[in-house]
Amino acid sequence: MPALSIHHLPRRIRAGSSVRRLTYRGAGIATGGMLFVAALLALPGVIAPAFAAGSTGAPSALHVTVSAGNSGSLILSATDSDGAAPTQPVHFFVTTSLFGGAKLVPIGVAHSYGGFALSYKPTVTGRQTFTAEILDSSGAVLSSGTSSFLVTTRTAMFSPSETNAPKPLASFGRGMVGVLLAIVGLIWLTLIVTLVRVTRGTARLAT
Amino acid sequence: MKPITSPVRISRRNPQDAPHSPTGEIRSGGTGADSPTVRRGMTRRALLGSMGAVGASAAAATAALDLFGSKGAAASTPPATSSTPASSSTNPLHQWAMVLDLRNCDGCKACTAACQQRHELNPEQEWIKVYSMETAGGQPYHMPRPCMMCEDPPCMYVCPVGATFRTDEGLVLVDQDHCIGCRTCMAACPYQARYFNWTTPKDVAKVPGMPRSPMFPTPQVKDTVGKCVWCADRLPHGELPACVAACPMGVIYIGDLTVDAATDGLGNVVKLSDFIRNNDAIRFQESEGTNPRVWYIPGHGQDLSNDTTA
Amino acid sequence: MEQLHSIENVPPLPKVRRAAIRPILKPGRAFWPVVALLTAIVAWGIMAWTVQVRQGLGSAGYNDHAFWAIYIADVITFIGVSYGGAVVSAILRLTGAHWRAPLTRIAEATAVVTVIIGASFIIPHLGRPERVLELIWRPNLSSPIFWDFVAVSTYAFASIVFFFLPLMPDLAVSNPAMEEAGLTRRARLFKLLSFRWNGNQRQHRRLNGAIGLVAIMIIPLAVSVHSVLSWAFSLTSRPWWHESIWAPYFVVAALYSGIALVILVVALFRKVYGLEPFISERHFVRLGFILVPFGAAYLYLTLADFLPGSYVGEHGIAAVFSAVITGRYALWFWIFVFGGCIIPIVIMALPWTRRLGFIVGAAALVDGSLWLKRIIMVVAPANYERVNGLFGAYHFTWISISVTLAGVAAIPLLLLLLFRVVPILPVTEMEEIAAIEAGIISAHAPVSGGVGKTIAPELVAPGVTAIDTTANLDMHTEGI
Repeated sequence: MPALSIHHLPRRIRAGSSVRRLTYRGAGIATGGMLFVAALLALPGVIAPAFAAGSTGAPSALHVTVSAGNSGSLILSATDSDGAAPTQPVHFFVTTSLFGGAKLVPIGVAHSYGGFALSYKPTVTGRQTFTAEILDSSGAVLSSGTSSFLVTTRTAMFSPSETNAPKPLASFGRGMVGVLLAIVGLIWLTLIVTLVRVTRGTARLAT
Repeated sequence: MKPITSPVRISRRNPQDAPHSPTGEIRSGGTGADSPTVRRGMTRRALLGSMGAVGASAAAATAALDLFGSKGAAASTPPATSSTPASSSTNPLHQWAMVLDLRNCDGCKACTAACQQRHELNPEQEWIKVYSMETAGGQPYHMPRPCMMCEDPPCMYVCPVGATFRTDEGLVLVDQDHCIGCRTCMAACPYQARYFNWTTPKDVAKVPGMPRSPMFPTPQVKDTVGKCVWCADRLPHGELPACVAACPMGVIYIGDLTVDAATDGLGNVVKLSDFIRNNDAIRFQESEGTNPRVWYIPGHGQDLSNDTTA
Repeated sequence: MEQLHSIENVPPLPKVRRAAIRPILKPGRAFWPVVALLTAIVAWGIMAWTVQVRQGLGSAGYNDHAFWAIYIADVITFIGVSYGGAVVSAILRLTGAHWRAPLTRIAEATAVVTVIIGASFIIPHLGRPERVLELIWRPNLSSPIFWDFVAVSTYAFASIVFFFLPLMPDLAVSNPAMEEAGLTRRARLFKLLSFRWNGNQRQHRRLNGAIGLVAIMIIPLAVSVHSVLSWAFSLTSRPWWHESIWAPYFVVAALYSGIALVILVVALFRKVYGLEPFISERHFVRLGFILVPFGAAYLYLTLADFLPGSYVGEHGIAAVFSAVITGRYALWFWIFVFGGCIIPIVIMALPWTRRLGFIVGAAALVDGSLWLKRIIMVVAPANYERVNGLFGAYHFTWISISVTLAGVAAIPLLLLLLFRVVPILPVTEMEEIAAIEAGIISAHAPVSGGVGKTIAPELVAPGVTAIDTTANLDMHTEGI
């Protein structure tokens, strides 16, 4: 299940000028190419149940399992190395390189009442590394484990704000510009025509 | 004093509460049913990567054709200074955001100093300014004020020559090679975040390989306007803005709404949406309708929702 | 001397014609010294501006808490006063007020000169004036500043057209005198710009139609200019600027200060060029009476502006209004209220102050006070710091004062120079109105520029070629 369909792309692009429009068009093609590659990468995910999964836990006390859930979510769960359920809450993290180097972003805590499983909607596509940790009361890591997973579907954690009430005149701002410029043009035209008409007319009517 | 901005507003802003479609899109009420934000975001990100070395002038030369400055009308693409490889599915579009945890701010102004040092600013140009404020109960507190990087930036709408523009990553920047110095943006900004170069800027030794650009506007240009840029030149490299790195109290978090992560200068990393929601973060002067990208965690009972008075 | 008819069959008024071109032929002994003095003031201002360009806008007293101040107030003031010309000339023309006739040329010239000065005050206002043309080749159409630029340039062009059209026949009838006096370059210019005007009915009909059209156009154009100027302020969210009353505020202020400036300029040129036979004290009383309703309206708008914000007391607006009414700007504000509105109205209300000297004094008060008011309107909200509610400060510097004074001096300077080139009195218009009032041409014929059907003056008494000019002058100065 590819995350994006290519044919939807160009229509979404609102261009404000010819310069930008051209650039966007070029970009659309480039984007399309890249998305095609991305879609190819995602093919195994389509053929196999839902996601391409790969659990490569490094030697550690916790064994992390990542599997596909519903609606683009992942199910993260952790067991002891011998397969038994942990005895304490498990903290899950995803690794990000957003701030330089690998940083762990806390994404939630799994408790025994949830079967030590966490539902998580990934925000980034590509190979993601998930870490599970069990902490003691002082925050020191008692045991941990990691697993990576090729994410093909991401959920945006961002949508542009909607203002509480949209600006009242926003919907015809573009049309208004044309109307106003037309009025201004008409005024200039009228003045120039008047001037020319009077001066040339006066000269012509002199006899 | 007015009550703190309704938590309903905050939660509505929280992407996790937005309705999800099966493909993971969040539909935005304002942009029409056929406009899944994710896809547009992906497109723009990919666009960024493929734009290569399009310069600031070319990008900013596009004028808004909309009389009332509706959202996105004057949005523009930033000059690509990123050295990160071309966009791929592992490199999503960023939507930069800041969270300022006022509970920890002791007003030391290390952020201001770091910013002024990095951008070689005159002392009165406090791009991130630490205000000393008082709650309704008379309790003092400190409030650093960077540029709010509004999603609906009034400064951009009123600029007569499009010298102020907004990047697809949500950064509002100034092209000082085109600013005519009319200062209408200073009139329009509800946050006093813009600083004019009233006199000759500091004499700056040129850093080789770092020419002035809207993302790194140093040296400043006399008789044009400048402002906080969130160290836009650093962000693509995974480096922290100067103020974030300099804050000894971990007050200032820089984050990405798309990746949903934020970090302070002390190495704390948080899930941005949870951090905003769990701490009742609010946005300054929400009533202005500018949709800032900066959230404040008050903790002192402040009213930041409207113009304050001394 | 052969007298050309300015309009077919309308008898010439030799006295008017002589007075109209006297400044061209023989400007008087004080002319060149005065021009030199005014030029020196203007040159000093330009020099001050070059210093400002070198040192930065901070040298004019600007700072981050006074980012807009004196120059934008000057722009508003100068473009505002240019509305006076439009009113006296266009509105009185359209309503057919005969007494306007000797004033229209001075009024229209004042409008042209002040709108040009006002527009050029954008230059010192800008930090990078050398980039001003970016407004044309990379405009942002959602910016009020762009539309300011459009509105002001359109209005300036219309003002120039409106000044030029009634001038055409005057240049034709003044041309022989230029040739006679040996002023060949002016004679050539007059000949060129009068486009072979000989006053026949068809020419007159066409010219009248054009003047009428432009007179109608210039009124909404002026309203639009002052509205758009105000929107540069009220389209921001800053307390007190973000008010719907600002557009009518600016329009009324423009009318008010514009008429006051017409009084001042007319008084000046009446004195220095001896136009007393044509412009009587009653002209000033009439102009003063026009001043009153606008003064009252402006006072009323001020009240309407301040009451709601003061009553409700929202943070920002309450802080700014307190500062204006009782705080740091209060002295200047109350000087405006009394000097700019109440005293001028009282002067016109009392019969024994309704005299030339007092009226000119009132007009000077109005223009000065309204400049002060505009300074307050610009500076107070700019001073207000919107995050912590404190106020910054603005101080005038020698640079900003010099540049502003240069603008003030440029008004008489440009007018003096202009009337060295064009007749100061609208000869054709005065002759036509005199003929109508003498019953020589039909009273039904609308005066030049009148609305509706434009009928060329009908000859009532064929054969009459000269009339008693004195009687007619009395009639149209003392009539109505």
